[in-house]
Amino acid sequence: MTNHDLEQRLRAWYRAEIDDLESAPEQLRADLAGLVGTAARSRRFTGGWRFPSVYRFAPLALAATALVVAILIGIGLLGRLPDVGPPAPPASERATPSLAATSPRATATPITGPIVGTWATGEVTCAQQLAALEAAGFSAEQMTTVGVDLTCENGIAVQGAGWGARGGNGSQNTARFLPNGSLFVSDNVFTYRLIGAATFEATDPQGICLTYGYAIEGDQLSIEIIDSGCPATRTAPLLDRIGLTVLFETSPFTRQP
Amino acid sequence: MTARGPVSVGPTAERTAALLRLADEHLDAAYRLARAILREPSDAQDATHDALLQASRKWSTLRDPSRFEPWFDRILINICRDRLRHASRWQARDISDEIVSAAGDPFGQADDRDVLGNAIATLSPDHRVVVALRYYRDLPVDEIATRLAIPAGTVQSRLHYALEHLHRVIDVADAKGTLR
Repeated sequence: MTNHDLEQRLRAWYRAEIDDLESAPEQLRADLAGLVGTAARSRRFTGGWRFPSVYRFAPLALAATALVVAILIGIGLLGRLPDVGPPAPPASERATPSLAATSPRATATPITGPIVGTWATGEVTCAQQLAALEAAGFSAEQMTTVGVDLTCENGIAVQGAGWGARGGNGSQNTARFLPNGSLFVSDNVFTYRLIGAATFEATDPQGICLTYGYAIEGDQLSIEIIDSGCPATRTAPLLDRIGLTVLFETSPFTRQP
Repeated sequence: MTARGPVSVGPTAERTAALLRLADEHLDAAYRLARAILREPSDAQDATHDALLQASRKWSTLRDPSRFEPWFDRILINICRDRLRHASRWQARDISDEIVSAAGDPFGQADDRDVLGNAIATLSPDHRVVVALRYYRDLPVDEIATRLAIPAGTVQSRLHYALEHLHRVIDVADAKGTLR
């Protein structure tokens, strides 16, 4: 077989493998609309922004979560249900301690300190989320640029709702700081490290890192972003800063059993 | 609220709308390119999604919107290549036994597409990318070089070694008595 023959076969193989009229899955278009925020505001929210490469595992992760919850309820160890809801991370990254302990993100030296553990907010409202954003210094223009719905119509404060899929009224945020350096925040996965008595850095899977301050009073944990970046990284994009503000700063967290 | 760092100005609504329009126009072609490189539809969907995310974050770096297609393709290709590397799918392996087995299928399900598809799967990520751009997208070498930001000579070299590798894999399959 000559090179020319092989080239012809390659072209034929690609033509047979991929139809010229093959369209991108509808989910991708929905993601696109969520990504562009304001430009898509006239479109109806369909699922939205999320951390990369997780959505195809969402059904599996949800099923696994449901099973775990059922088992925990059955043996009476669960005081309250953990958050479930799209988008969920891959099943392999769910916040079960045994899985997290084997995560490649795990640190060699276990993190200790009062922040380690599971925390959850109460139900928050869209108005509370907007207030948190305003208190953090974001302008209305900045919020609308990334798709925040200032009218709170349909109960969704952040159009795209990717930051834990908890936008809008009645949402609840959870944060699990594991000793191995994994941080699960309302189904999003980060790595974190303590850099001071009341400061930590958290990095998302895309390498976007922000610096947070925290305070613990009794069983209440308050977190706020104190730097829009980390010493080794540049300033995080506006989209992330706003999304993470909604996640971390809307209301205090309460320690969970 | 404690003091926070300086807040950069986000993209304007007009530029965001332009990103939406351009990405929407190019989405199908981008997805098909990801399919050509990764083959699996679910992998292609994930890669395209990741590329959209990255493009939205880097949007302000694109000076000339008319260059959106090659700019976005480069983001997508890099993501596809990374996925191949992380999945270690590219590592060369002897698939001739699989091909022989398939060829012996009494129902005749194995065919030329399977042989070539399996051979392509053994290419390294860099080689799979140039092969897809050359024989799926039908891009000339110079255009591939531009999209990958590498010299044209490197593209030629990768194509040469990729074809050589494919010849070798298929020849091994032939030697074991498979159909081509």
